Amino acid sequence: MKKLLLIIFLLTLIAACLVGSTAINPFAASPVERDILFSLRLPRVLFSAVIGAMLGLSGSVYQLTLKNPLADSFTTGAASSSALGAVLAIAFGLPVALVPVAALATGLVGLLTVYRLSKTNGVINPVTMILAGVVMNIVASSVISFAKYFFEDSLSSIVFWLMGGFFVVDWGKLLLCAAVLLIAYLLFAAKALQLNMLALDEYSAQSLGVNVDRLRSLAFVVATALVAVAVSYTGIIGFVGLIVPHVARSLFGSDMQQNLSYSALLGALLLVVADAVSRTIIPGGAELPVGIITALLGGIFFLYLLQTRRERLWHG
Amino acid sequence: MAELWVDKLSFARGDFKLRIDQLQIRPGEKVAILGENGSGKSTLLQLLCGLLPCGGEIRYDNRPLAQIPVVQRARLFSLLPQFSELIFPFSVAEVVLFGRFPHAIGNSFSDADRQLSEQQLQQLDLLPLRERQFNELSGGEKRRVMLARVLNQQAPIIYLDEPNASLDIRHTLEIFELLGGRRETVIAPVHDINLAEQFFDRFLLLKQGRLLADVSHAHLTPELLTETYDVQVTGGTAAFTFTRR
Amino acid sequence: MFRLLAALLLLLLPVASFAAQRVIILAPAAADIIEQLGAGPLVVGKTRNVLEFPQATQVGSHIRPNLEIITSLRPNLLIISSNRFFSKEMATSVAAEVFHYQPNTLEEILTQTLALGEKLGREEQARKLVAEQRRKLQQLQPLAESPRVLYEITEAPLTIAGGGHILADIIRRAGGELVSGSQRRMLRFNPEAVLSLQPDIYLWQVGPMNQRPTPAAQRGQYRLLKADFRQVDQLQYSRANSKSFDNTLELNSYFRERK
Repeated sequence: MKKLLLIIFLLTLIAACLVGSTAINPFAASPVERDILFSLRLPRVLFSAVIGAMLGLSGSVYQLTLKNPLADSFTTGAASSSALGAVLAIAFGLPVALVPVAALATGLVGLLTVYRLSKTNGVINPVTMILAGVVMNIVASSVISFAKYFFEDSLSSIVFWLMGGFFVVDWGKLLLCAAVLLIAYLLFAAKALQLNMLALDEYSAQSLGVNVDRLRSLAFVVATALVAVAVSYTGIIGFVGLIVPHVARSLFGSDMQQNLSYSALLGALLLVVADAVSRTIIPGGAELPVGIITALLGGIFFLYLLQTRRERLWHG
Repeated sequence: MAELWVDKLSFARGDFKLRIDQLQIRPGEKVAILGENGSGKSTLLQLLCGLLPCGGEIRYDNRPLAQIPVVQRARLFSLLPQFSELIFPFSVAEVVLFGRFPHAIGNSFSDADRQLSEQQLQQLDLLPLRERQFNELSGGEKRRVMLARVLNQQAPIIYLDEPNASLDIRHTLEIFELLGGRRETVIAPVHDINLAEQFFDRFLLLKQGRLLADVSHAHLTPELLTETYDVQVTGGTAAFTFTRR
Repeated sequence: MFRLLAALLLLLLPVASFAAQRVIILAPAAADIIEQLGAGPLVVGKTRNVLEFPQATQVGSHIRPNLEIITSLRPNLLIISSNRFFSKEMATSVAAEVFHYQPNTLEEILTQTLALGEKLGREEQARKLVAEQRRKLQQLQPLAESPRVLYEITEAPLTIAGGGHILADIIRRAGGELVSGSQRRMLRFNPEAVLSLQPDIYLWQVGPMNQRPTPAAQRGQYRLLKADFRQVDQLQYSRANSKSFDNTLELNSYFRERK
C-alpha cells in the first residue's frame, strides 16, 4: 500500500511539473521552457509538496496531542497569528523579502501566548489550549480586518495573500522548508510510540510511563513552528491539516508510526494536486489562490467521510 | 516485588481534603478501598500514582516517588482509571499491546511483547475481539480490554479503579479470581462490598478523605461498614450467591 | 417685476441643466480633471486620498465613504466611480445627482470630461481641455514594431493589469500591446506565465499598492526574461485622468527610443 502511494505520489509530482500555464514537453524544451521547468516549476511543485507535508504532519500531531478531531492550524491560532505578521508587513510596505520573517515572528509570539495561556498549575490543558487558540484566532483576525480596513491601498495584496498560494519559489526557500520538515518529522517519528499513548486518557498515558505534559508541550511547539513556517511562505492554506490526518487514519489506521508518514505524504499529494489545478484552471497564466481549491477539495472529501465512515474517524 | 510506604500524605482541592498519616502495603497484598462516593478513593489512587501534587511522602521500595522518573514508574505500578476512552480508532490487539510500552525498546515492540499480548488477550477471553475497533465495543468489553492492557504492563503493583465497573457477574468473578491468583499487589476501590469481602484480604475504609480504618478480613464488621457508609448494615446470607462454574 | 419673471423662469428649467454648486468627489481619479476644469472651488467634499482641493472636507475613503458627512455637506453632485462602494440606496438617501466617472479608454476620458464640464458649468474649459488632449494624441508617432507590455500592479502576490484596465488602452495608443489574456482590471498571475509570455517590456508600478517591491530586474525568477524593465509611478499611471494622455505620449517615445 505504501509503495503504491509512493508511486502515485511520484507520478503526480512529474505530472504537476509538466502542466501549467504552458505545457512543456520535457524532451523538446526550448531554453526558456527549460528555465521555467527547472528554476520555477520544479521548485514550486516540490515546495507545494513540502508545505503540504508540513501541514498534514502538524494536523496529525495536533489532533492527537490536543485530543480534538477538529484541532488544526486554525483552532490552535497558529495560522492566523502568523498571517497577522505578514498582513502588517504588507500594509506597512516592508520589502517583500521581509514578509515571511514578520509572519514567522508573530507566529512564534502567538505560539508562546497560547502556550502560556493554556498552562494551569504548570500543566497543559488541551481544552484550554483550543480555547486559547480560538481566542488568538479572533484577536489576530480582528487586527487583520483592521489592516484591511485602514490600509485600503494594500487591500488586494492582503486579500490575495490571505487566500494562500505559492508566490515565488526558489531553491533556497525550498531547502529551508525541507530542512524544517525533516527535523520535525524525525522528531515526531522518534516519539511515534509515545504519541500513540496519548490516544488514551491522560492518566493511563502517564501511568504507562509517558511524560504527558512534556510530550504535549513538545508536540505543540514543533507542530506550531511547522505551521508558522508554512504560513509565512504561502499564506493561509486551510483544510489540509484538518482533513489529511483523518483520511490517513481512516485508510491506514490510527497508529502514529504509520499516520505520521501517511499524513505527510497525503498532505503533500493534496497540495501538489491543488497547486497544479490552481496554476492551470484559468487559461492565460492567471492563478486561482490555492487555499480556495484545498478548502473545496478537502471539504467535499470530508463531507463524504462524515457521511459514510464517521464512526471510524474518531470517538467523540 | 515492590513495597509501598505512605507518610503524612495530604492533598486538598477546593473544600475536599485528603489526609493519610501512615500506610504500608507489602508485596502481594490484595487491598480493597471502600468508601462512599466522594470519599477520596480515586484521588488516593491518583496520588499514589504521582498524578496529582501532594504533601507528605510516598515511597516505593524506600525510594521517594518524586525522585522516580515517569518512565521507571511504569515498571513499578500500573493503573486502570475509572474511565478510559480512545480518541481515535485502534484495534483491541493494538490497545492491549500499548501495555508493553514501558518495556518497548526504542520505538517498537519486540516479538516477546507481542507474544505476551496474545497471552493476555487469551487470558481475558478477548481473542474473539482481537481485530475489533476498541471504540465499537460495549462498556464491559472495553473494560476487559483496558484491564488486559494494565495486566500486560506486568508491574508489581496494580491499581484498579473499580475494576468490575460495567462488567457482568461472570466476567467479574473471572477477573477477581485471576487477580487473586497473581503475585502482584492489587489495590482497588470496589463498590460491591460482598465481592470485596470475598476476594480481597485487606480493607482501607475511607470517609471524607480520612482513613477511617485499615483492617483485615476478620475486622470488617457491620458496625464499621455502618460508620463508613451511613447505612444500616447487618450480616447474613444474601439472596443469591455466585461462584464460577 | 423682472426679478419675479427671472425667478419663475428658473423654476421652470429642468433641474439637471443647473450647474452643480456643491460637489463631492468619491472617485479619486476624477479629481485631476475637475481641477483642470477650474471647478475646484465647487468641491466641498473629497475622499481621503484626493490631494487636491485643500478647502474640501474629507468624507472617508472611496471604499468606505461616510454617508453622514456627505449628507451634512448638502451636495448637489456626487462623482462616483461605480456603485460598488457607493450603492444606489446610499445615493438616493443623499438626494443629490450622481455622476459616474469610470473611463476605461482614453476616448471615454474625453467624453466624460465633456459631460463633467456640462454638469459643472465649465463647458468652455472642458472643450479646451479635450482639444488639448487630442493635440497630444496627434503627436503620437507610429512604431515599426508593436512591443508586448506587461504591467505589474503588485509584486507579492503577483498581480498584473488586465484588458479592463486603463493601462490597456494607454499602451495600445502608445503603440504597444498589453499582454494578460484577461478582460478583468487586475488578475493574480503566475510568475512562470510571465516567462512564457515573453513580454518585451515589463512595467512595474511603485506606489501605495506596491510600496517597496524588489526592483523587477533583480528578481531571481526574471533572470532569463529578456525584457526591458521600467519603473513607473502608480499615482501617475493607474488613474484615468488628464495625465493619462501625457503618459501615452511618454510611453510612445519610450517605445520608440527603446533598442
